[in-house]
Amino acid sequence: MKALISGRAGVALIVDGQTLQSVDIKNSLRPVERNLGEVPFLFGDARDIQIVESGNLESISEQLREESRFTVGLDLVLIGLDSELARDIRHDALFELDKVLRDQSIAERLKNVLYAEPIPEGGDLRGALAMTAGNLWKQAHELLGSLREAQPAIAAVANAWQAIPTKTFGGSEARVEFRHAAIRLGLFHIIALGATMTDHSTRVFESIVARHIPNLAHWDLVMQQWALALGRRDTPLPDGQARLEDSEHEHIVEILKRLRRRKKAKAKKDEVTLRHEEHTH
Amino acid sequence: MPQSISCGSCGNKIPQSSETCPHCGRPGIYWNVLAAEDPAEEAELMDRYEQAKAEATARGVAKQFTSFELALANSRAVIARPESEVLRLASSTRQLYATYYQLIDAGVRLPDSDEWDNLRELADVVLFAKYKDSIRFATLSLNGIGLSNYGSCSVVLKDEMIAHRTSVLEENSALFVQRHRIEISKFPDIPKGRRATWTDRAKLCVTKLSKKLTATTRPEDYSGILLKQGATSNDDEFVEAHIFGPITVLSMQRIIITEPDEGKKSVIRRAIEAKLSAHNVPVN
Repeated sequence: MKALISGRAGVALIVDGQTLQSVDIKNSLRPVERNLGEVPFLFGDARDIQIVESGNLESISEQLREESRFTVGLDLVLIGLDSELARDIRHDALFELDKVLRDQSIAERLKNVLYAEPIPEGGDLRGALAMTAGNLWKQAHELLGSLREAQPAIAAVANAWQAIPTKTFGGSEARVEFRHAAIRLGLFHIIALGATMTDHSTRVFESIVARHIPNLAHWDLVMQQWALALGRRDTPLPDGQARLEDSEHEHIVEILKRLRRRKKAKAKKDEVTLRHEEHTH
Repeated sequence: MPQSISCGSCGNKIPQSSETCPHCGRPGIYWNVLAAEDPAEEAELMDRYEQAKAEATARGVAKQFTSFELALANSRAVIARPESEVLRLASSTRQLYATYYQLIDAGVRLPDSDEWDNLRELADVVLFAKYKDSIRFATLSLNGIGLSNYGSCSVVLKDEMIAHRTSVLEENSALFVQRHRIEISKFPDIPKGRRATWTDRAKLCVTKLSKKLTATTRPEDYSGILLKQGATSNDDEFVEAHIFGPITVLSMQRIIITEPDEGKKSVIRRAIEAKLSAHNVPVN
């Protein structure tokens, strides 16, 4: 079975040969037969569609549940941060967010997104942090606290990303794809965290990256350009963005370089293994 | 539908899918509306309309025909979506939400394998050719409620924000393509007179539906004749509206929620209501 899954639409469309079925998060995940004409109505304008190349009803339903929890989590963070909304709505959103964050995998995915761009205009991080103070909502407070602390690093990493020439990726579509994959893998998150990262967390991350990176084209060049862009300390910053300390900055650049070396080493190892296997056969 | 048209201002060719003239930059090209405005489409629609009117007169329901047509002129485009999607729309003017929502927009590029082929043959490929990504799907409704099988929030759109860029088709586009056995080609053979501009939507609807009128049909029945919600979505019957381009909170007139609230989502619903209230969009 193959499937298209959208957490925002709360629906998974299952493609099995010529038959189409959907499962809906609001409909107890009961499969319903569909026809082609329903596809635009099922997904609407949702753009968070994930493609599943192989699965069964159970695994697809579970992925839909996770995508849906993630979507709700992201909505709750944004409502909690929204300076335009009344305090009671923000307060209740952060209370609900705290519960969502108890699921570690959802918490990690939310951080991967929130660490990819600095909080823009209209985001009241200080106010949200104050609402969660007092250890009542530990998970939400920790998330917002670390997010606040990391804002200068997030901005530096995001600005450096913008400075990577599009041709490095092989075109603008490839750039968008790389960025999406990098966010999903947590690359922005971990690089921004690099300013305060311990050796242990760097090693954990490197092992994750080593497993996933071979799917990302132009990885080597992108990492090189990203490090170069971060190395240019004279780049003007947008209003209100604080500059990183030199030591923090160097640490991030060093992480990018290590990731690049790690990938190169892995590629070399894979090549040797392949040659060895060819020789054996 | 031509692959290109002449620009009304500079006279040069505008290729299909361009939303502005590539030469003089003048905006406002809506390919779905241009297709509905094709003289052959309009002539065939008028023929079918006259036939339907004559048939209604012969059956003694001319009064109901006229009354129904008048009501249909006030039909609205409605999109039924789940709450989370409505929150995205309701916050579409806020940079905070747009920034992070955009980060998880994956886009859909189906892998090259046979199993995905039937999805690739979606009707919109045939009907909308190169501009399919620009089309949003809605239904026409007289009571503001859309196809609730697809979401508990019926979003009623403002006429003045969509009339110039919306066309209507007499049924679901994929079923239309299947029923008429239209094959994918550069110039697909699409039966004429089955689509109309926003202005002519009442003509198209009454032409399609006048057979359902009887001497006892009352104005309160009209809504159910225009949009019939089946037990399953396969049994739904409706007129499909195709809107060219994006929809934001400023495109909304009102929202009707058709399902009771529940636990965790209640804060999201309150946020939706607050956001819409700021834009004078009522939620019922």
